[in-house]
Amino acid sequence: MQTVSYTVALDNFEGPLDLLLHLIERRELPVTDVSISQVTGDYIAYVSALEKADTRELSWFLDLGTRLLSHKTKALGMVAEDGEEDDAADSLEGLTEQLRQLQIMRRAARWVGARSNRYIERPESHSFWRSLPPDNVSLQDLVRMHEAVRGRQQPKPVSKHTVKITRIDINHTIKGMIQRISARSGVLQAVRHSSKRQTVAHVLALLELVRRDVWELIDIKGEAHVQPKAS
Amino acid sequence: MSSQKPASNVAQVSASLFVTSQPLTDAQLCEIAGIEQDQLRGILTVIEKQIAPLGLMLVHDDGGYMLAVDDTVRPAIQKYFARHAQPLSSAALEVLTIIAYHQPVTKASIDQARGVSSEASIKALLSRSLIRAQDAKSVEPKYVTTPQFLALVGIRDLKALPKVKGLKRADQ
Repeated sequence: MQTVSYTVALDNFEGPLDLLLHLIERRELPVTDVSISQVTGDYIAYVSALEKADTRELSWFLDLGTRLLSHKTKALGMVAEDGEEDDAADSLEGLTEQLRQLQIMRRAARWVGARSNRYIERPESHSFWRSLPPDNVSLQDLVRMHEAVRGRQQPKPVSKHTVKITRIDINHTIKGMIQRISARSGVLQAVRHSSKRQTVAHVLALLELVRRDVWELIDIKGEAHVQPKAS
Repeated sequence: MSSQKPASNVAQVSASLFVTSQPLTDAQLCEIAGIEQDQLRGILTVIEKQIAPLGLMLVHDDGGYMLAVDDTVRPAIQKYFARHAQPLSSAALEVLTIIAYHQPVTKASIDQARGVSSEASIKALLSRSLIRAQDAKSVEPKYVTTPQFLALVGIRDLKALPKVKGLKRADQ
């Protein structure tokens, strides 16, 4: 069997032509689903594009094409039996007209193809718009769906942590903080502690001093400083 | 105040057509703008005149109305948008043309006209909303083109399809 690289690409099959014929002969693919004119047209286009036609390849295609056509004419009941010449003549006439109409449609399809070969599709980015609100869903349906979804959620376990309350003596903290501020240059360093509790206590003490209008915060070159408010 | 109302309806209808990529029917447009059917025609005429200088046109058939680009801007727009396009196969184009010229038409009639099954092409055209089944619940639905088809080929309505000599009406 001659090996030829030519493959056919139809809507329902893509592969070597001899495999197509093989599948049809094994009745694994209905021959009525195969467009012989498309197969032939594509092959003519393929051969036309070749620099030099190979006669062996052409005869290979003719052989396969003839068998394909034979299967199709049988499948379409277009082969006249004995005594059916009149019917066959009518059938031939009808077939001729059918082919003529198909040719007309193919010419028109060229116009459609030329107009649509560069397809401008409207973006689907607004597709949500047409889905809201859904026609067949009421507000009650949405509420029920929402409750059903919530019902599927696992409740979060209740935390077993206990919180220990620490009382802060604000006046004592203020006193300690003032000593620290005088010993250091900036407020931030004064309130910063390795203990989070101490840091929070000193920030609260600082705010309390500002609230009492005893101290004020000033900005020196982008750094916060605190100083007794001038009376 | 009353002189502003028609402008508001025009804005509502044109904005609705702008925001959707699907055709909108007469009933939908009337519902959106809160108008009666007999007012809609006048509003659409106003919109058609207003959008023409923008390179847009209104396409419509029984499936509804859509905005589409007209031939004045089509080539320029295609340079960008067509890069993302999935071209239609020759078989799909053939089926689309048969439906366009013979609609409403059944799959059996299309198959008979082509001498080959058109199932795959019909599915492809349906998925791209270029055709629709006129009576989807029917055992043998009849297919018609959609406003998306009109937008695809850039014509306002089916009357604008090129005349074809020797065409016979297909059996439905």
